[in-house]
Amino acid sequence: MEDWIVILIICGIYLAVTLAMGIIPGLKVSDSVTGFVAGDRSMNLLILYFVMGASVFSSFAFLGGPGWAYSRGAAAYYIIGYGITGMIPIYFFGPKVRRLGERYGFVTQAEILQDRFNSRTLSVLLAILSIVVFIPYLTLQMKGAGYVITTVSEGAIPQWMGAGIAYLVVLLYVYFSGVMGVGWTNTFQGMFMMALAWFLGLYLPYKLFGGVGAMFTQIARSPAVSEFMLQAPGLNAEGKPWSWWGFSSAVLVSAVGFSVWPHLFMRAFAADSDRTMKLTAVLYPTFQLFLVPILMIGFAAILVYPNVTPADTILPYVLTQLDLPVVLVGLVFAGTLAASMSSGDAILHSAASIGVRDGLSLFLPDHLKTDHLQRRYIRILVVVISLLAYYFAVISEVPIVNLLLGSYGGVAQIFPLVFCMFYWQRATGSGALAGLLGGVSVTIFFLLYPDLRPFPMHEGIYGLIVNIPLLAGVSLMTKPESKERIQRYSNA
Amino acid sequence: MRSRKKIFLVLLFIIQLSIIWPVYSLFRGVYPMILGFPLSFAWIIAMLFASFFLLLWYYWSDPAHNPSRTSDKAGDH
Repeated sequence: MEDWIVILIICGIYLAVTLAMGIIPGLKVSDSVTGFVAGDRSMNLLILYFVMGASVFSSFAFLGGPGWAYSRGAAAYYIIGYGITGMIPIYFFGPKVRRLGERYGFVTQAEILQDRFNSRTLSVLLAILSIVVFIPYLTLQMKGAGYVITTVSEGAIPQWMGAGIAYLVVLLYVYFSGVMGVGWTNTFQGMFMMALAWFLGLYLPYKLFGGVGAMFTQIARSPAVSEFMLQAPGLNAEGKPWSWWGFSSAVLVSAVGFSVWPHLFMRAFAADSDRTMKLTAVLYPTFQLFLVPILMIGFAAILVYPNVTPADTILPYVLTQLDLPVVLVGLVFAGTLAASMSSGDAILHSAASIGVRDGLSLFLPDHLKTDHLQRRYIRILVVVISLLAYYFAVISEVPIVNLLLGSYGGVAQIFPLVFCMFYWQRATGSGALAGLLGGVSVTIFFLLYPDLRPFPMHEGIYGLIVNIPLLAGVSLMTKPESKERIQRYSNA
Repeated sequence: MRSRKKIFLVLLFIIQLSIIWPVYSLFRGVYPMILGFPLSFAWIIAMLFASFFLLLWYYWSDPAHNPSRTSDKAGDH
């Protein structure tokens, strides 16, 4: 049998196991919105830990991470850097969010912010923001999956079919099982990814150089490699030394935005206890640590396989060049699929839940938004969003990556609202709206016109500089929210 | 604010500054290599461990810590 057929069979088995693991747990949750969106608030530590971790580690981590280390060297430490402190806010607001969700029936981020700030407009605005950043995110995951399947089949399966098969599996388990499907598949996929990343990250330096130390010593001494490659903050996209402004602001914005990404934030509603929520935040760095071997895959290729473009293809390139057992290659490709699918499913599920709960249901009369009907709408939206992302992934030529690059800055603008929800009683709905709108507008402006930035900082920082004073100023100028409403949050 | 929280926030602030300019720029170089890793890489990994142990300490030392607290589970199982 030809090698690529063996690899394809392994990927096929992987997809079948994922499908089964995704569908079965859905049979156990209640037939309600809370069951579908928040898993009846029953996720234990093991599941929540992997849901958070595997949702973060997308095909960007598996393909882009080694690509960054390979082409930009120490700049790739930024990907580890923002996760060092980024998840810590969840430790503090996660349990509060969970308790309020349980008491008042919230299942999405916009629902809780809408209640605290007494503003339906805010809810719609957050729904739009979430979906605008989720669709390109999902599109890139689909492209990643399609790319993997096309590569392993040596072109026998075209990209549109590869992406279609992988995401049909995702669509099926998200449709039937909602968040519990996401939870169990992410647990399986997370363990699989971690094992493979550690194996490859340690094996490649050993096989190609005789060890990690020998590898870095040779890179540092090589005249063919820029002396800035291994020095923080590494190189920029043009291959010149990156500025500290650029590196530091990228780390800061991503760290600020990390804990308020809607699909991560809303998992607080699925946690079964405060302890689960807190321990998920405490243990998160153990997941983050697996970026170390991921980056080493990229470093290992610098001297041995120079000039591979685009840099994101370095992992599949190395795998096809090395004389590895075919089963192992199959497992690694399945692991890359796992990375794509374990983020794609969480995003798809969140986008549909948010679209219905925070957008559509606000405009429907009561008899059309019963629990049962909402669940049906969410399922319909799961299908619609999948098709839309699929269209962008395989048909449209729109450069969607640009949209995603801007999304980190946009999402970071939600953080001041979440912070003030619990820690500043004087914050009002008008203040929250002004801050969010101002912050997002400025972020988009500097994303489109980077040359107008006074300092070479991430556009999200400029957004925050406008967002925070607007939130504070407008809040102080408007009437405070009712005492009873505020106390619900300050005593949460 | 309790002193435990103050210590936590100060240490968190120090860790945050250590992974960006200015503190990280002091540890930006390749040498000395630590366990085979360039200094700049080893430093980031060390900060990841530092933040992990900081939050772990904060969790363990929580006076209101009540691990048995679990909610009533809704649903049909």
